[in-house]
Amino acid sequence: MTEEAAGAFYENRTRLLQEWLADEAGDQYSEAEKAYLIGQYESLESPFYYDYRKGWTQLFTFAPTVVMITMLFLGYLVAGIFSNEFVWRADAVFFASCHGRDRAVAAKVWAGVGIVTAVYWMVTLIYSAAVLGYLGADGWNCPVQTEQGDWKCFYHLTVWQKYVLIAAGGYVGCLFMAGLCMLVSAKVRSAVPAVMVPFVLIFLPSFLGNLESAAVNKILGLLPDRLLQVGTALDYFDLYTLGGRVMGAVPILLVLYGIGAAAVLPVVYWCFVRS
Amino acid sequence: MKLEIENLTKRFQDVTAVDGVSCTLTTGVYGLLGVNGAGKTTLMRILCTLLKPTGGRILWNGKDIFELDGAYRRVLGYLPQDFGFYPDFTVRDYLRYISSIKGLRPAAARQRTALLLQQVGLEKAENKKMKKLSGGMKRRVGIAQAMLNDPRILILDEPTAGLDPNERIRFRNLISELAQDRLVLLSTHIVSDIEYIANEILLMKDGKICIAGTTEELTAGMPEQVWRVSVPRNEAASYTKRYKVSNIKTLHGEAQLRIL
Repeated sequence: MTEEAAGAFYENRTRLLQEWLADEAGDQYSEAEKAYLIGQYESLESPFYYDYRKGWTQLFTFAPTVVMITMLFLGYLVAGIFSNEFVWRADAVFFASCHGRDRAVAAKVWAGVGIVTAVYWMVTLIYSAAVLGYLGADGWNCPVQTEQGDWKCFYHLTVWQKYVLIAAGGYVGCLFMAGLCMLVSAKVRSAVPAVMVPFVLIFLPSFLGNLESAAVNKILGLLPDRLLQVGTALDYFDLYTLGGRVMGAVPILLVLYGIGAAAVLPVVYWCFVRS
Repeated sequence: MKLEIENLTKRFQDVTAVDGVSCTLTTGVYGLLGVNGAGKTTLMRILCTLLKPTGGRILWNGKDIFELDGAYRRVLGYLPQDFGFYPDFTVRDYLRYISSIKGLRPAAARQRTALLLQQVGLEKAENKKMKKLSGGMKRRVGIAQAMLNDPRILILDEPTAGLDPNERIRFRNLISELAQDRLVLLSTHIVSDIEYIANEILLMKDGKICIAGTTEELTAGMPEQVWRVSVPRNEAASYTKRYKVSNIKTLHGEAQLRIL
């Protein structure tokens, strides 16, 4: 790299974005969204602080796989919580008991939440400790844009903030999907369709991604599988306008499915209590 | 202590399973006798708040059982006809779990579990998994779980179904023992199960209680007599068509019929 090229390093990043928005992506974004993206690029603090960060790179590479496998495993664990009473014909004794229509059902819901919480964080912390313990946690304060795959990311995040988002997003996604598993299990009275819920939610969007439609992409950007791969979602230019304000998909996903997870649990409770 | 059933009805689409049943139950053993499909199980499930009636109501000491909700189920013990359990629980763990959902404190649960295991003769099997138990042992665990909360109302739906004669006798004696100061409602289609232990028998047919009374009252009130006759074996079939034959015993060259 020449000295002149180095001097224009950060301006080139913004210039290339502007050219892309004017040309290839001209019809994919509104003027407000384009202005937002350019504004984000321009306001990114430079020069970047760069450090050795092999541990974090390795962590982020396999994080989506680890989270997805954890979710599929959690699906198996929680699928039987509400259906096994009916499968084993123990429901009559259960519902004829004093707490069979209130506290015992609430305990089942909390057991499901407890299983998801314990297993997810145990896997996440063991995986993180193993990778960072071996490769080191240096570079935690570097901007995410210093990673080759995240060069185009418009979020102003450091590496450790990206890690927190990945961990939090994975947890919210697992909680929401587990809630849906339990709801299907309580409604259908069988664990088999309940176990299929995470498979459908995780793998179906990948078949729809090739449709190359802006409208479909907008919908895909808000599906819960994105929470299981927040690291990848941070690189997408998924933008939404809410109340006149343009924002990326990741904060919306966290809030939307956080509320969704909190809302599905009472539905599971009422569905089972009324059996 | 009084359980009043007032004009209770339960319809499933075009089938009336319970049809205007009214009776009052107090302390003692009540036998609910009827053929398969008479409505016994449906009636019992309503009494256990597992089903809501289409019409009528049930009062426990003057209050509607569905309004009482958990307070009513606190005094209820139920052994369903199709008794299911958690196969990988040990007997002790199963009873402790049922204790917890019945609202017993851990210390009380431990005491009741130990006492009931002794009473039903399963102390040596407490660490056995439920799926490893014989049919009779499972039924005994069933009665034990129904008794955990020392219920005032004990509802047993065909508790001796599938048991061998020895187990049935043991069960009858156990129920007699447990029936003190309690309302026990026991359903069966086997007369000998309740003949000697029931204070009152309720005969159920097509969703209605057609007759109620003690064993002596019911048998004394029947106009029929039982006749025993020996006929050639090849004529037994024609007698069956003409009369109500309750029993045929085939002997050497002849058949001995009992006719109502």
